[in-house]
Order: sequence, then C-alpha cells, then structure tokens
Amino acid sequence: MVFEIQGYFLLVPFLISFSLGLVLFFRSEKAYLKINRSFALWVFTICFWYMHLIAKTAVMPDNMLKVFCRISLSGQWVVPSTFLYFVFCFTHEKITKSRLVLVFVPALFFLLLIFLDFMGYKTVIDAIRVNYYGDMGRSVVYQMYPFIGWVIYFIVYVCWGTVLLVAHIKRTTVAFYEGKLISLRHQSEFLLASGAVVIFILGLTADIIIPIFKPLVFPVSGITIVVMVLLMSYLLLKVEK
Amino acid sequence: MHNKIWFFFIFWVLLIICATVHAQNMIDNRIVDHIKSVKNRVLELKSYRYKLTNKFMKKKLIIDEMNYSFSKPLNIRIEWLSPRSKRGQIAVYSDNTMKAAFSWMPFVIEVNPDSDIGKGGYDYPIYRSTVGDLLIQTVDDFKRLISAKVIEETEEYAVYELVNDTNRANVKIDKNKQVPVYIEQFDLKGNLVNAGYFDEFEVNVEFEKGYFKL
Repeated sequence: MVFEIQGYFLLVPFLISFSLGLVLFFRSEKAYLKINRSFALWVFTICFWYMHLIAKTAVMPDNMLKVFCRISLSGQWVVPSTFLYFVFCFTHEKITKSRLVLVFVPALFFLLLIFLDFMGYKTVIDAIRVNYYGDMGRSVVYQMYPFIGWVIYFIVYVCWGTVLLVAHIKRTTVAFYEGKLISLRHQSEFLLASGAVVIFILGLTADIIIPIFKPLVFPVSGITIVVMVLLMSYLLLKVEK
Repeated sequence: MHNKIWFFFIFWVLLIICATVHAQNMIDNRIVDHIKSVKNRVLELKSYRYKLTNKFMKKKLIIDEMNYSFSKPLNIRIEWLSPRSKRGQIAVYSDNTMKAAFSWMPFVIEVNPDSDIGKGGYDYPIYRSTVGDLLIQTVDDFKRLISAKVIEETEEYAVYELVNDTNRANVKIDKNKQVPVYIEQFDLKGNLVNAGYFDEFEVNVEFEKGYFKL
C-alpha cells in the first residue's frame, strides 16, 4: 500500500505506542496487572486512532477507505472510556458494576452506530473528501449529531479522568500532602500526569483550531498522543518501582 | 434656419441607421446560432460533470479548482480541490436545500444558498452556478452585442469573441461534444473579470445513488 509522506511519519508513533502497549500488557507483576492491562487497552485504542490518521494518507479507493475508517473509528471512538477505565484502575477507585456501565455504555452506543454504518445506514460517515495531505489523501466527513455527541462524550470523560488522576497524584505526593510546594522536582509524578493530559488535549485542540485559519500539513495530535503515551508509560513504570 | 435643423435631424437619423447596419454586419449570425445551439444542448443534458477552474477578480485574482457534478432536475455537487484553504470543501444542492462541509469542519451543515456563507464569495448562489446558467447569461448578453467574430477555428473546436457595450467575452466550444471549453469575460480595457474553464467534460454520467445527498 502506498501512503503520502505523512503516513510514513505517522507509522513511527503508531509503532512506539503499540510496542509500549505490548510491553505493559505482558508485564507480569501481579500487583500491577490490572493497571498495566487497562493501560494497554487504552494504548491499543489509541493505536486505532493512529490507524485512522494513517488511513487518511493512504492511496486507496473511496469504498476501501470507508471500511478502513470504520474499523479505526471502532477503536478511536472508545478512547474516552478506555482512558477513564485506566484512570479508575490507576487510582484504585472501586469499580462497581454501575461504574463499569457508566464507563462503557457510551462506548457501546458509538460502537453500535459504527456497526450500523457498516450495514450501510450512514450513521457515522457522511462522505469522503480530499484532504490536505498530498494529492491522494482522503478523509471522512461525519454526520453532525453523532460527531458532536462524540466530542461531548470525549470532553466529559477526558476531563473526568484528568480530574481523578491529578487529584489522586496530588493526594499521594508528599509535598502536596503536607501542603507545601517544596520543589517541583519532588512532584514529578504530578507534573508528568498533568503534563501528559494537557499535551494530549492541546494537540487535539490544535488539530481542530488550526485548520480554520491555515491548512494543516501534519496532524499535531499525531505527535502529542505519542508524547502522552510515553509520559504515562514512564509514570506507570516509575510508580511501580 | 428651419431647413438647416431638419437637414441636421435627417442626417443624424441616417447616421444612426448606417451605424446600426454596420454593427449588424459585424455580428456573424453563425456564431450567435452556434452558441445558442450549444446552450440548448447543455440545457437538455440529463447529467454532466467536469473539472472547473474558476477565475474571478475581487480585490485580487481568485482561482478556484473544483469537481463539478450536475444532474436534473437541479442537483449539484461541488468538491473543491484548490486553493489549499478550500481543499476538501463540499457543497451539495438538492431538493432546494444546500448542505456544505467546509474544509476545516469535520461534519456537514445546512446553509442558506442565498446567504453570503452559501455563496462563498461568489456573486451568485449555487443553484445559478451551472454551465447552463452561464450560457443563458451569455445568450442574454446578445441583446447588447456589438460584434461577434471567429478568432480561431479547427475541426475540433472554435473560439469566438463577443463584444457588447460593457464587456468582451471569449468563448471556446468543443465541436464534437457541443459543450463549452471555456468562457472568459474581460472589461473593455481588457482586464479579466471572470472565467470558467471546463476540463474533462463528461455528459450523461450515471451517478451512484445518494451522490447528491449529504
């Protein structure tokens, strides 16, 4: 398969993320098994996000692109739920049945929409169009209401997860526990977690805002997502030590 | 004195008649008939598609490239290829409704075709943007026609120059397909006002179901 130049560049963060997901999935410390597996699940769904970005640079017929995009969306559109699930595991929040339902029901709803789209009901993808990535790059135009619904779900769940994560780290960091800002170096976990999420959100915001003023030649989130995955993986490994 | 005034009046009338006759002689009716027949042929087409390069002068010269598709009764789909700021933009007009996905917007919205945003910088709405409408406008301008002449003619195509009291137009016609290749409009000083270049003109195209729906 042939890609526009951006596609080859995006393969690098995809492979890094996928490898980190695999490493953490197979880490066998029993005490951290649940956290590692939930992290791997989240990273694997992020890999679908990369697949979606890469598909937009591929040279292929429109119908095949639609199929690829639907497959990648089935992972990309559940990222908020897998992120929140990871945060629940990481912060040792009690995962009750009702919480589990709350975390995954929106994801199941969006998966159902994607399934219906596969069946030809046009519930998610409206059209295929050319994009900024080279001459052959194509991207999808979404149905308005499902897309806005997904954006709201994304914002709410990512904010929820971020608040829980940062509050947890703040709680467990000694400097904050004592109510003193001794040294930023002693709060590296706190900085890593919040920095990672902020970078992630900034990247996505840039991908939405920049094209209003100037065509993008490379998705900013393509870089920021892998930075977030790297920071989170480091945090996870550091905490487990 | 009275006779002089009458003499001057008759002379003036004769002058106008001579000028009119001369102007009529400058109009090659073969050209007028050819363009009218092309207009009628295009208006009869059930569907067509072409790659349109649109040039028009606002404060500076604006050049838009797009894939333009049309099917009867009045379904239009336009996909912008350039400039980069508009690349990927789609506009569809069907059932008296216009929907658009701007290049920076990941979803489709409904827009009023007569609003500024619906016109997208042009002077006319999407439902008046077909090549048929352009030819109707060209034929309407024949009422004010001062001269019409052949600039170039081969077996495949003919290029005509049409001049009226406000502008000059160059029209190139594909003789085999009987469709326009381009229509350029200049002001009387020779500055380009607007132009449409119709490449890869395909007629009676079978569009897939839902092609004009967003």
